[in-house]
Amino acid sequence: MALSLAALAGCGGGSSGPAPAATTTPPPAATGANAVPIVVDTGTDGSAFNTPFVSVTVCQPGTTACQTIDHVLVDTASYGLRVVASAAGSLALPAVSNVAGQPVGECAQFASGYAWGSVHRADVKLGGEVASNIPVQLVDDRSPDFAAVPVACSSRGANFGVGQGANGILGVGLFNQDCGSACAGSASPGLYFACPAGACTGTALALGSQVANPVPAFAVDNNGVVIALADAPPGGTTSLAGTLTFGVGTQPNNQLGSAAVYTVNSQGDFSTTYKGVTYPASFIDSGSNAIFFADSTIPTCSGGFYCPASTLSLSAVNTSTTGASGTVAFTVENLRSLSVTTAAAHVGADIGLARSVDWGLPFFFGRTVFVAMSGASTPAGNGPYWAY
Amino acid sequence: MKSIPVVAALLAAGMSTGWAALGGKPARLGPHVAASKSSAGSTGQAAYTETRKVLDSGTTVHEYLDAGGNVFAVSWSGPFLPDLKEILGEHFDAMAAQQRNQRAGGRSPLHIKQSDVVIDSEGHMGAFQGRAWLPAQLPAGFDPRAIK
Repeated sequence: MALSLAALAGCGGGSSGPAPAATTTPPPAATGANAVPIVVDTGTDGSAFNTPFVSVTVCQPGTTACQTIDHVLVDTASYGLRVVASAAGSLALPAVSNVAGQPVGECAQFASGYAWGSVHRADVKLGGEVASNIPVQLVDDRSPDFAAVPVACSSRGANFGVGQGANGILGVGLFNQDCGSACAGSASPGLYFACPAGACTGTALALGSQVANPVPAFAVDNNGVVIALADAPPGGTTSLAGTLTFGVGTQPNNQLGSAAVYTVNSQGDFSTTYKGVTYPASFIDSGSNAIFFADSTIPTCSGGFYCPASTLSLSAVNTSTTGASGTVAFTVENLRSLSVTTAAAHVGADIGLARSVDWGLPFFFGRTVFVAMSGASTPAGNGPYWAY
Repeated sequence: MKSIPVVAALLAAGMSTGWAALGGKPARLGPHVAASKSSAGSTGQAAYTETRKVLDSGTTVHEYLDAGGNVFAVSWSGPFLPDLKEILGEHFDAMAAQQRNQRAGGRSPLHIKQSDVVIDSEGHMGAFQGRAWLPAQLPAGFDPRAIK
């Protein structure tokens, strides 16, 4: 679920709301070759809300023919880089083929819809880190082979692309590929398609050809990422700064310090208990623009966002698969009280009869969150885990 | 537990030439069903038939049928999204419309609460879950929290 300016206005925001502060607490600085700055702003078209962006440089493999793409969403709940094909400019990225030599397209699945496009190889550069020759998705590729979305893709939801206000999605969550062994052995997952002459049918695709999280492909600092964001003040802000740092415990700037480790199950989930109810499939998602949780006592407004009469101070307990637990305090402001120019604010939204609490971007405000990759070695043991 | 004629309901569904999924006969899901099972269930006074289909993608789909064999609730859980158009039937458009209306920025769960249908879609890449039901079609006494 995401919020547009129209939704804000429809909620009664705008002129009646106080102007958000222009600045917040000093942002963490992006220092070192293993760090890039994050900005939370309203995106390429003013529509984004609670969305963290970085710039990503995409190059033809092994060359200096590169394109830097701004406003790529940093997403801890997906895996792999997806950019809109039009943002890749004139780059000639080599196509990924299946074992039959047919060009491969992908229907990337999200709870909020799908992203359709072709699969190509590129060098992906983030600060001083390089993932060489990895598969990436070019979303909304208009070339003839991929111009038509297969019915087996459009039957999964709405065409979401990379989301309004963004030029791409950088999936740096806990896992290596966006599918994994299931797609290597079978077309059944419905993610990968062979599209000779534009006639797309499902295909299996080898692990090494699947769209991949760039982090494990780095030469160094490849065991995870750290996201640090400034806090958002009451009433929200028009811009929030932060840092995406690569590696966990590999450099002076990515040490775990006193962060508590929350191990996860094979799906990447831990459990959250809120008001006596335990949600066993909970997760941390920088690509969700609110904290999504169920509480029928809080009134909602446009889009299912909560609009309490006054700001609520709430808490929940996260419990890892090893039984370690800790309390998370969070606040929920009335969405209606926010200005339409707000880019970041502590908001919540109703998730219905869910099995999860989806800890969206407000969870990251004023925090440093570590994402340890599945199978990777770190000073606190092997991933996958979250730490904060 | 009140028992209802499970076999008859499933036969009727299987013999149906048309399908409508949620609000009608069960979704076929065709060759993608790797295993299926049905059982009678009840919550409070409500009796219904629950079918469980494991798709070849590894995702499980539950359908809840009333005494007339019509689907009043569905759910899905697993690594990949199922064919939601087939499962949600005419209500797929309500979900897609909501998704299109909320495009800006991040990717987030979906919660649609309309008078005719409630749809939740949650989870993340590799671990999806969702459920949908028709408030007006629920057997008397059926609590949507009983949907698996």
